[in-house]
Amino acid sequence: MLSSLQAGSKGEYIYDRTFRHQVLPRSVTRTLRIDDDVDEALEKMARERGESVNAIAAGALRKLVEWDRLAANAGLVVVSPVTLGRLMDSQTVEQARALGEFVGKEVWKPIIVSRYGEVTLDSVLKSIELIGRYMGRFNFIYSTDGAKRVVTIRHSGGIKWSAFYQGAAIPLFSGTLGIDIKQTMTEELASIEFETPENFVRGA
Amino acid sequence: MKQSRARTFRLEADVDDSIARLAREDRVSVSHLANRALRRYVEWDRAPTTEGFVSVPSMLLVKLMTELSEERAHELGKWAGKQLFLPNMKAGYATLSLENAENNMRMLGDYGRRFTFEHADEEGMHVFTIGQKMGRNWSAYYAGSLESIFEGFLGKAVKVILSDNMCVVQFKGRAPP
Repeated sequence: MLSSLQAGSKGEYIYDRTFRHQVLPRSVTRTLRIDDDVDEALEKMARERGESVNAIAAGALRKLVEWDRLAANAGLVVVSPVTLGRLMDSQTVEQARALGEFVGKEVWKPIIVSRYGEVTLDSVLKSIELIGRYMGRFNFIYSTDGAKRVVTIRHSGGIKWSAFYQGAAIPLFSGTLGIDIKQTMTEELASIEFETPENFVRGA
Repeated sequence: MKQSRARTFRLEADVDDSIARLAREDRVSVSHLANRALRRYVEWDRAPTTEGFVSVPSMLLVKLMTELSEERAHELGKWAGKQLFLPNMKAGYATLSLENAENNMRMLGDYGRRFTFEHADEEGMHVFTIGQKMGRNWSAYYAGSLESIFEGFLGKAVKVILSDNMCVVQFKGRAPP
């Protein structure tokens, strides 16, 4: 069963059921002094996209506080997806999986701790959604049915990127949380299945 | 000095609180911090020429590039300069010029965080320097990129000096406007 599906900015993802009854966030007004050229660029973008300037600015400022600082601290850099694809082409599937394990341990795990303070199932799931949303590489889908849980990463990078994402999940789910996982992958999907008690937070 | 105007936004309270906290930590005004983020957003994150670029750990790029030979890294850079940089520059600025190339590289360096970039013009001798910390193959990659960028619209060979952390490209003479 897919429960509590919410539309994300870059596709679909599912938050945990505990988010179902959350109230709308409180908002405040804030007056800022904006450079003329930036303000004009925001106006132009709003016209072209059929959105309000406020909606665009609010999204940009949320990205600042949720991601930009974290990305800089974690040593993330920006690259063209075509160049990245060419570099990954030189890897075998097994090498791609090993690279994923390295990144899961050395980059994703520190990001989780930095953002949420500790590695729990909840913080891992929230972080994968955050990484997918802002790193621009994949959509995150999380579904539950009783104790059974399925985490799926959907992307367009091909089988080596599926292997990479599977590798990245290993140090988080198996390594840190101590969960037995079953993995499957296709050209566009990397899925892991596992079972945990309903109130599971972290492994022993 | 840049002209600016006041604008009032409706923000979710958690975002507003976090911006105020970050501004305190950085010892800058909330407006300064927000303005910088909004500039990045319109100039880079959602710019037509860079939208779709992806964030990756620099460590991953180091490991991926280590698998290639220096020659292959150089070839990949030449390909990227010709097939990605030059078409993107044309899309963004309409004209291929030294000034536009410099602006584009500066933005890639500042926002992309992969390298630092300097340009000096010493009596007609142009010197472009890219500093980076991801190893010699990345220097070779940038050398290939700069070669194909400048040869692409200058139509003449450039001189390249490489090190583990730096790539310097020189050429003499007036570049096309």
